[in-house]
Amino acid sequence: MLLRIIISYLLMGAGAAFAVVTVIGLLRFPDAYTRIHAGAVVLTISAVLVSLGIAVYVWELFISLKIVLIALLFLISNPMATHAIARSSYKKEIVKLEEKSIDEYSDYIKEQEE
Amino acid sequence: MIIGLAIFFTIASLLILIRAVLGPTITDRLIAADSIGIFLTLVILLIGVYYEISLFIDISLGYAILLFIDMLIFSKYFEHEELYK
Repeated sequence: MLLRIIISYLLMGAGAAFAVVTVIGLLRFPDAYTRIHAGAVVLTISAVLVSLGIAVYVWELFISLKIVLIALLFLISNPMATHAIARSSYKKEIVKLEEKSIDEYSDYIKEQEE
Repeated sequence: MIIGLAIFFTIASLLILIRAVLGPTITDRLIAADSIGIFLTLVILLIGVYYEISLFIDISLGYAILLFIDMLIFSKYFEHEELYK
């Protein structure tokens, strides 16, 4: 009984720490692609950890399974959505890269076209 | 703890709203809107657990699916903007 509550609080606390990292990254990073990195990777693990913590906290079968389903949906859908946003903003050239940055995706597109 | 975490996520989404307002390009605004949506899904989930309303969990599930479809539609729209005029 008590150990379950402690485990759920640990999971939710880790998720909250990752959420702090997400907010700092979204506010302070210099470029749009680095902001995508902050919004994709760290936010996904934050949402999954908090959802699993809630599922351990509730601990009833169907409600916990439903919350785990929400966590799985976050784990699959958020990287796909941010990937689609980054791909469209690269192809439409909404965000232009600096000259110093590494750009391997343009070489890949040229190889695909040939 | 539960309701404190809900207040914490609300403050975090208010801070991300700064980036959504003054982000220089449209990609920043889309990423900020995605982050706000995920945080508010977690807030709905936490409020449903705290007040023991099990309907809010279903609402949270539907909200997550709609957020995913929204982001795909927006990215597709901004990639092929000339097709939709």
